[in-house]
Amino acid sequence: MARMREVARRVFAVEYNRSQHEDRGMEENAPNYIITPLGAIVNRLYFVGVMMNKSNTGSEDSPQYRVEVRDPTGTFYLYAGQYQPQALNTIANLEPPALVGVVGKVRTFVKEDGTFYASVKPEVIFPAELPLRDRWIVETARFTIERLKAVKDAMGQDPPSVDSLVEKGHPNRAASAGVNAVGLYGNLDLAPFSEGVKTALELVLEGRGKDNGHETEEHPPSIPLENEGTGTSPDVKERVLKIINEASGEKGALYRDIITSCEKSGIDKIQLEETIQELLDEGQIYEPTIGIIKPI
Amino acid sequence: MNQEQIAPVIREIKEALPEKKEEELKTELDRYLRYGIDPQEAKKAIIRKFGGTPASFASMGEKKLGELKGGEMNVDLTVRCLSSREREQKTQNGDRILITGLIADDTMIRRFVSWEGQMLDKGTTYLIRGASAKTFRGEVEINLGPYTKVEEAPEGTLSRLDISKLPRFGNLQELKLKDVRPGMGNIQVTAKVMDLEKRTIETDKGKKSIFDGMLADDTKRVRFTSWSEFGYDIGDVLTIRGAYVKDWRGIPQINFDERAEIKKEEEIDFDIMKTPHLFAEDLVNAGATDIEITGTIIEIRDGSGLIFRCPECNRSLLNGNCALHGQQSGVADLRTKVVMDDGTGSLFAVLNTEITENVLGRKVSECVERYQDDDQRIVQELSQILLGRDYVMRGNVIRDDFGPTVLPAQMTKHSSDDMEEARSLLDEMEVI
Repeated sequence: MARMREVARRVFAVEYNRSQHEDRGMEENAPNYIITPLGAIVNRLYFVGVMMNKSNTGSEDSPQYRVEVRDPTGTFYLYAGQYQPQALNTIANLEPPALVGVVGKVRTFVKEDGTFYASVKPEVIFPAELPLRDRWIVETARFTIERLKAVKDAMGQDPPSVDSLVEKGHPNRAASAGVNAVGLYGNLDLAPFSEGVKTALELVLEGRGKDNGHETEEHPPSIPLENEGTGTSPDVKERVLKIINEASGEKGALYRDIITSCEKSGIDKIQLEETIQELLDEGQIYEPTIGIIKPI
Repeated sequence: MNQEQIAPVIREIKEALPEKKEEELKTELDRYLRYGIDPQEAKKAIIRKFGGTPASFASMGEKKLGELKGGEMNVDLTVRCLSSREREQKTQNGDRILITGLIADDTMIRRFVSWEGQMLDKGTTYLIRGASAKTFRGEVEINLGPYTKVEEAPEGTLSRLDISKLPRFGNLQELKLKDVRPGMGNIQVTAKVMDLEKRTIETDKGKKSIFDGMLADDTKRVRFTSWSEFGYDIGDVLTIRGAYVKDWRGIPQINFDERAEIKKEEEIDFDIMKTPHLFAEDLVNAGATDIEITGTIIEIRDGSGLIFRCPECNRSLLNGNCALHGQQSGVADLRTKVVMDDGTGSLFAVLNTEITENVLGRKVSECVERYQDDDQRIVQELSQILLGRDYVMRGNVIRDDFGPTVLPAQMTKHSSDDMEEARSLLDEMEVI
């Protein structure tokens, strides 16, 4: 029997990007899994978000795209090369900003110092519409809440056990996620994830995707980016920029160090991610490699 | 260590190595003990060194299958083989052939695994010497290894063995229908008889009546066959104890005979007017008949769109060629192969002619005119309509070497009120 097709997990960017653990398996050709802070075991994922920009890091003949896709909680980083022809083709033909659906495989990069970065190797990309985005947010929120609840209960158990979580009414998949999460991440602060779920669901409540699309088959070539997260005050922006400047060495500053310094000065992670995104868009800073920020 | 403690150890070594002098053994033991080796370990080492068999490896003698608890190292058995088959197993040193099956004596039925290629034939009675018993997934299993000797038993051995009097193989598992998997040996289910049909079959003992039908509980529907008289009717809720599960295209089918205990339940009933709605994770390990599943179409696979079929065998043609009948002018048809994924599991699905026609809003004949010169365009059109959309599929799920595949008889768009769902999820967030 061939290896079973891997499920496409639904996770928000905030959860995916904070992953610090992977399981590469012992067998030859064993699939690679990321274990997220909420214990989801991810080999493939599906999300709908806004393609913010694309850059061809390859040549014209053999293109290699680096693409950022934002969901309401953060950014997915995509790398598409010649082995992902469908994705490559779609990216080449889309002008950012554009709302897209992405099916992709996990891709990890571990720096020498052990810093862990999770990005995505897209398999299929297609133009999407707001109703699809709303549908994805609702489904992803449902799975994330399921995990959040299980992790919370697992934190109160010593040692946490799948059986007793199932007995408490958690679905099997969430119960194992809870046990994984506590085993690998310990007593993690869950606030960023619950904040992320709330931000995403509130976006659905704005009703932009309503009465539009589930019945239409027309795909506009691209959807303008909605104004999410433009609430960053100039003051926060300045403080973040200052922190980045201070933390920067010759090669730039580690994203994790920036997070730590910002938390000390009372800027939360979501706020920080939004600010960094704006600074990137404004060209005040750039990201030479994933996880490194450098002022211009 | 004093003489009193050493004496019994020496005695045991002497039993295993009767030709050795006691003095010699004592000197030998001393050499080990001087290094602080545990006397029991030293004993085993000495016996092995002089070519004996340590007591723990010595035969435990003739045992009944029912006495074995798992962990016995060297037992002799007299058993009849009930079934056996070859199985390939991947190991670090390449593939190896294992033989597995069921054996029985007058106490019980157990599974055996033969690691060195000793074949047991169905219906033959054997004397097995030097087998071991291990516990695997909660079941005691008999292992035949390199030191196991297998020979046919003399005529008449176990002649009174009546398999139908023995309990079914395996520990009884009480299950919901959605958790029933092909290959399970001894299950208990409580379910309602949805339909029932009597059939007559020819056996070597003459004509026999068997009963086919459908069982349903609140999780799933599963077909069943009763190989013995079945005194129940449609609408009865039954607890069936001691059934086994066969595999039909990856779809589990419950089977039972006179060995099963059946009890009619008066207090239990199931509301099973509607088609069971399942998650993909419930279907990844076992197929199903007539179920509903909701998921997102996340991929359109090769082989979708306009295809041409062989007029003789209905296979799809590759470049105008049938694998069996050679060059053919094919019959046009439409189908769509997709991946549907609900976040819990991933399933292939093949949308038939009618569903594909409905999706495109065009009949096969129109598609032939429109797309014959450019068959990629039809796939693009299908992708635009289907990708990322949620659908409810109703039909059977088969399972083969390529994994589980939904064959929907019907497919409808999933309608949802996302704002309402978002609102109730936000409420849920307030209390965690």
